[in-house]
Amino acid sequence: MIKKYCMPGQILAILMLFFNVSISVAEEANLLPPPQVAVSPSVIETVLGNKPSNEVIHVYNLGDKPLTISTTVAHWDTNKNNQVRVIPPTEQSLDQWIIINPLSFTIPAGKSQVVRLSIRPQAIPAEGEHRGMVFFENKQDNSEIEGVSALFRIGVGIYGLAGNITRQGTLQALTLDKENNLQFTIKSTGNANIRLTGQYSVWRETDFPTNKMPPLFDLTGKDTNLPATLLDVTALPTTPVLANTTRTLVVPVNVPQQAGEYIVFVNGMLGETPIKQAFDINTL
Amino acid sequence: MHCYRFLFILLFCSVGFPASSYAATELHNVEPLFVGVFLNGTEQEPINIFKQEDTYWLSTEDWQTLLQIQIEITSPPFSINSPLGQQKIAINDLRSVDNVDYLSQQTLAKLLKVELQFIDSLFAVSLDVPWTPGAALATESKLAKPKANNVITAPNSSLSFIRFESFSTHQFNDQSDDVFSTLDAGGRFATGTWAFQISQEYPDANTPIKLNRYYWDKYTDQHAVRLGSNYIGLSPLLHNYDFTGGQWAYSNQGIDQYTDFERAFSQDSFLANDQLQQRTISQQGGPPAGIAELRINNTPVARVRIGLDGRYEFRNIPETMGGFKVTEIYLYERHLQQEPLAIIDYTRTLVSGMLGKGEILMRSGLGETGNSLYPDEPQSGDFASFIQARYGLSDRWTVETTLQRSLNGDNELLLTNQFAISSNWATAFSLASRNNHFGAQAELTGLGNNWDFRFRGLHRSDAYQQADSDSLDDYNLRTFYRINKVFNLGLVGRYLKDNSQQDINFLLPAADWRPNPQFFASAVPNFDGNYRLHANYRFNPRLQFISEFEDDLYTQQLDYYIDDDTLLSIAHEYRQKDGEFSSYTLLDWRPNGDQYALWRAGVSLNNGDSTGYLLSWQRIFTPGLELSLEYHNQYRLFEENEDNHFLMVNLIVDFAHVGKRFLPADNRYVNATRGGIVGSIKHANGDTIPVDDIAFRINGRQLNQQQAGGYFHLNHLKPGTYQISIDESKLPIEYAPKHRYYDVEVASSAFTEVNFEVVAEYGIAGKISQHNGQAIAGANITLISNNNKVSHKASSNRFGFYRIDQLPPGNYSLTANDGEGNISPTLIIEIKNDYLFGQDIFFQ
Repeated sequence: MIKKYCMPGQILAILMLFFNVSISVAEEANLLPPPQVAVSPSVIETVLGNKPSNEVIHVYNLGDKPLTISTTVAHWDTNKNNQVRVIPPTEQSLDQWIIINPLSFTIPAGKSQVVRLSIRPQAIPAEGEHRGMVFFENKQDNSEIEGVSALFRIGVGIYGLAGNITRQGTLQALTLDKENNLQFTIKSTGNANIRLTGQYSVWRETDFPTNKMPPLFDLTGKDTNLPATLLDVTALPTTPVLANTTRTLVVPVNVPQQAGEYIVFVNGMLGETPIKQAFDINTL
Repeated sequence: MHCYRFLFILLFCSVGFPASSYAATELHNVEPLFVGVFLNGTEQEPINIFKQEDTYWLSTEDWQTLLQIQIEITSPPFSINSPLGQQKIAINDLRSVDNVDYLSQQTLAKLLKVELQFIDSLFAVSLDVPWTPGAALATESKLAKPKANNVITAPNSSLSFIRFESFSTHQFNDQSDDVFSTLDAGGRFATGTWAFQISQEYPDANTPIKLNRYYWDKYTDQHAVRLGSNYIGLSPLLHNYDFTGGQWAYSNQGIDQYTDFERAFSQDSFLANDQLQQRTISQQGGPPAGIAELRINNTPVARVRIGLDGRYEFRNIPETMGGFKVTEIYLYERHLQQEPLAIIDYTRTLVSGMLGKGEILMRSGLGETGNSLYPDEPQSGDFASFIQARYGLSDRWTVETTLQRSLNGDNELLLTNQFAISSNWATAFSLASRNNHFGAQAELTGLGNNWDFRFRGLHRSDAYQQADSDSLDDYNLRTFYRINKVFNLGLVGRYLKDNSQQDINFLLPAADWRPNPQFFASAVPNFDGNYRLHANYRFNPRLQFISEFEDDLYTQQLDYYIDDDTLLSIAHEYRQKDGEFSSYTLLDWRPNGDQYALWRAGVSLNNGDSTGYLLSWQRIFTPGLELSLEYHNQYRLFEENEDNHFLMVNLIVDFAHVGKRFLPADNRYVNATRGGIVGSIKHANGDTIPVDDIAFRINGRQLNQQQAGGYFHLNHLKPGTYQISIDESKLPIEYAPKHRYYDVEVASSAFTEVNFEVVAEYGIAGKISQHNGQAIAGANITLISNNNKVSHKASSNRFGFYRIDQLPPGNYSLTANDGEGNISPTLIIEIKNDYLFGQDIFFQ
């Protein structure tokens, strides 16, 4: 009943999202190495029932210095650019029901810390999806550059599901713009977020199998029998479109540098609805 | 007769204590490397090392120089002296090249926690040493003195474990009782280890309480000594018998490879080779609550229910184990009609146990047959002595000579030759003489990626077995070839000529077929020439149909997993010879998925005219405390099972003795070469926290562990120092461990107690608002404990919410400052045993 999302092809899901990097000496920002922190899983989805729902997040210090990290919880949604936005809590937002232990801790270099979560609804959860985001923040000066304070913030999205969950949505538009970006305009009409699944593939126009639509290819790297004429295959983004929102997901297509005529074939699903559409690209 | 005794005593004494000699095994197939060295990041002088597969070997001299330690290898016991203490080096860990001794990176990692990495870009090795090279060397053999309070040393207890087992059956038909009980104990004594077993069988008055087994073992690097009782079975061609006396074993390559093996408490194996001749098989790793079936020559001879901890045991196995026959254990997940999960080959093969080049393994014993405490028992009181010498002529060729005098004063001589023809083929031949009668045994074994072959032959001349026994010839063949992923074809054959029974002579095909993952069918002959036919079809992950024919019994069964913890089986079985049949239903249930509890209930309709019932319950309360009850009333009754109305009660109680206390433990795999760790998770007040799914890691890895009733148990650990850490993932959220790990010393035949103390901490959360409900961001919040000290400070976020954690139970007062000098009313908070939400503060 619980899903934990990992990045494809990786046993350890490493999420290194830096929502906020605040540096007192701006021009030295590029000199700083990124904080060596990873969290697993990057997303937690759990069912809200009669009993508390217990989860675990592993925080890894991949660097060579101890890291002191504090934890906060917030309610969130996404803005029109699909970026996470912290919003005020409500009685039904998950952040009000999450217990975390520990809230602050120090991880020795190369070690990890288990952070336990318990979700205990303080009100009867309304049917649908309830969201919270656990943020891990570093407030210690880890820079070797004197006077520079580097802060990082990594978020793990928590989805609590109550009652009958319907993941419904409509693909209002799918286009390929002039910059060779696929644009998926999705309206989420259910009571939980909806995500795209599938992939797009790139072919020379002359190689595209017109008699039979290309199947879904194995993206784990284990399949060594991919067609030689297949130029590229890339997974579609799994960015969630939250319930009752309409968002446009922009996916840059890896177009070969060599001039020519190509076909981009989208083979995916939105909820239960298949998406199969081909686009021509001419770079001559 | 007396001259024989003198001869054997002389032999025993002459070989019993030879001068120690040492020769490290040559390091073969190595790649010499001249590499740079970085010690904790500091560059050192480059050195010559060897690489063998993925392992790097440094000379003992280089290790000494780099780490500033002392390595003593001039004579056993070999040792390494570092700031961590003085520790023993096993002879097996040493290798030599051109008379220079080498130790591997793994050995140094094991003993001194030194991590070696090869850096390709620098063509250098990097040594990570977690202690200070050159610091004062320890002077005694023990764990480094605690630098912190999370170091636990092993106890030195003369009594380490006690185990009581009782197997009782009450027959309702004749109101009779049958009870068999054993009491085992063991510990450390006089630098060795001891063990004994007392047993009693009720109600047989002729078998009073009996001291079944008693011995004291002492091991050094190259020698092993046992004083006491033991079962001796040096070869299937020689007498096998109970023995009381002294035994000694020696290996110039280190005796630990023969003394350190997985043996259960109920086994009295002295050396690893003894395991296949024991009358008891005790194993772990079976499917919990499944069935283990012992098959000899592919014919079932015994079945036992596997414990909820995955352990199973066959007792009082007849001579067959030490004999010539193919011995296997079939493991079934729930019942016999399923395809076995695993087949473990226990056949005593002649080709196993070959020695390396130049290796010597000697063994001798002096005493008498039987248990000396009970001289009136059969096969007791005869003078017994033996000497066995094995030598590795090369890595492919081992020769053996055994001389034995035992039962009835029989003198026996055995010559064995083992030879590996290639990497796939091995052969062995044994020739034995007993009182001028001869026996011989031969074997040819092959094993490839998709095939296996085994031919075995036995010949005994007239009067070899007993004075009036006839000659015997027994040859069998079993070979299989996997044609593809679907077909597996084989041949099974046997030629048996034995005047005491009917001759057997057949060569039959065998096959199994798996056309798809759902269907499997097999037809394999037993060694009596009768086929076992099996087919099963899995409709979906929860439903499968099984059909089987074996031993004149047809069975059709439908298995349905109602959920992950509940299996419903409906079956019909029919016996051809007398037309009897039984239809039955069996429900197999683990309440709430509890891995340590199992219920079974069954009902059967026997021959269409009578009904039978079964009800059973198994439960592990704590590690080592196990109870099972089983009630049968005519369940699956065939006429010959008239006594099918009984109640069976099995009880096992195990304790580890640590300090002056007895703790729940499972003793079965703690012995003369292995130790264990017991403990629990405790409150600061000493109360055990009843959680049973917490993972404990040994040096970062999760190994065998059992946890029940709040107690955990880690067993079968080699003596040494381990870092035991607790995985907090499944710890109730309010608990935080005081120490995340302990460095724990484990000694053989002993338990070390490790209790992880946790503290209960809770938290509060709420909102700071103006009286009109407007949130106050950045309010400073002060929490004062009941001793009027500031316990915690926090501030509200931009939405006015705050959280404070790590609060022990108690009374607190909470106030907030809105940043403009206004102080809120005080909120009184009482934390008992839970987190508190909604601790809101409103400014007036």
